[in-house]
Amino acid sequence: MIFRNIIRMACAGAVLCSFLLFSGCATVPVSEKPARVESLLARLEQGDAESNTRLTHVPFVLDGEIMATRKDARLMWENLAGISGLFSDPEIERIYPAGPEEYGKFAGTADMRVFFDRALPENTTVVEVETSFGSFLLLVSGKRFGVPVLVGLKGPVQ
Amino acid sequence: MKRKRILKNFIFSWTVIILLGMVILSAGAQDATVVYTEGDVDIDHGYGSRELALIGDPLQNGESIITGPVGFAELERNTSTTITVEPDTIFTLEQTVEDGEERSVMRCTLGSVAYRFQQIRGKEPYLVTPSAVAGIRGTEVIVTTADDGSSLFIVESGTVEVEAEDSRVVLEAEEGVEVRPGERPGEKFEVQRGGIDFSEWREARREEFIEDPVSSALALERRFSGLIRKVEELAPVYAENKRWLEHERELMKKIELEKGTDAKWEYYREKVYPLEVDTHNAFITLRYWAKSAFSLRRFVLGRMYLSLKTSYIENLQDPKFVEFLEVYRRILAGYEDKVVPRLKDGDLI
Repeated sequence: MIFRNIIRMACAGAVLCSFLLFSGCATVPVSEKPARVESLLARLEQGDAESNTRLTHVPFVLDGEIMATRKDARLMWENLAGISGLFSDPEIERIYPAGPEEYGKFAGTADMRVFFDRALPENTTVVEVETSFGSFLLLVSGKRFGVPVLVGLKGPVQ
Repeated sequence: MKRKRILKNFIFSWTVIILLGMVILSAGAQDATVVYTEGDVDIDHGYGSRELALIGDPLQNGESIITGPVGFAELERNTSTTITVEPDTIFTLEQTVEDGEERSVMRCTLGSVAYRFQQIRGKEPYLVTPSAVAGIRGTEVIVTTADDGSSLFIVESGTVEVEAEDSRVVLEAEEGVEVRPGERPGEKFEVQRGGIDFSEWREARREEFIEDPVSSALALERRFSGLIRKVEELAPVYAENKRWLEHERELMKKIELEKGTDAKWEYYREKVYPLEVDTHNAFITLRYWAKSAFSLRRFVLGRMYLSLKTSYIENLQDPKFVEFLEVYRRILAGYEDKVVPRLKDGDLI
């Protein structure tokens, strides 16, 4: 009898734990988890242009530019491939939702305002990060290969 | 007498409705249909909406086909025009007005597009690149553009007239011409079928840009300034037409109150309708030039910036990059000041 009660309680505990675990996953997007963003930066730091291109959303932002094609993403990562330390030793300072009003952090232009208002993927966050290369602003969203996808990059901020 | 007047107005109203319908339908007939795709091919509907292109999808005025590195698409228009969109290309359908008649515009902003026109109904379309505009007559033509905004026109059959900076070159079969931004068309040259390696040409143009980015940016600025001049010429014409149209419409209301419905319709036919057509045409043309400036700024200048910023990221104080930035910022200022006010939010995506 006691043994049966223990089994029942264990089952109930397991159900409760899985509920908490999965409800946690459902409410916190990957793009808001610092550890996942750090994993993204570690992958980008490896400098493989091909895989970095796959981890870049199209269209994406570079400083004040909105880049429309996959060729732009490839070109960017090919050029950055030889740069070491770009995203090494990252210290994430802030992560917060990329609301429409945040466009000015990238560029105070009409194009950027409209992009933030209409074209940002769901659950995009702004990440303020300091690396050994300098300060960067990132836009990240969604999930691919277990890490968020890069939607925008500004920096090194002078 | 009253019945006769009602009948007359009824007939006139329906004539206007039918004419407007024909205009709308003819605009619809200018759309193209995706008949084949391979690899990454997206349709950009504007307003931030972009989705995978599927066979059978229509491409409407204002929409773009964007192909990826291994993307390829074929479109058909009225079964007599075939448009082949090569990898890494942005191709857009648009329209403009010339001498009171609507002309469709096929814009290749980046990459390469081949056109085959077997039979053209109505006015021939314009083939537009960042650096030139071409008119065609019964033609097979390949248009390709480079990262610095230069373009290459190669004619396989028929005739193409390429225009840039108020200078024209007529190309016949197996002839080609290169046009650099802000410059007149170069010397035309003979082309053997399949004798041009477009990727080699694009790479050469890219190397020249990386070597001397400031000259390339200045050339782009010249082209951009030309487009802004067109926008500035047309903006007051459109504003004046619009103001005058509003004034005439108010007058028409007064005439109806004072002299009756017959007098109102007569005034509409004689004064208001021609002004409506002129205002519409001025709007379409103004929008065409503003969109041309937008394409140059977004896709050509944007890629130039990306190439240089990521090449010079370890030394952003390099004089080449700093000088490029000066020209870049001037173009952006002109764009924000003169072009953005002429476009809608949906155009800016």
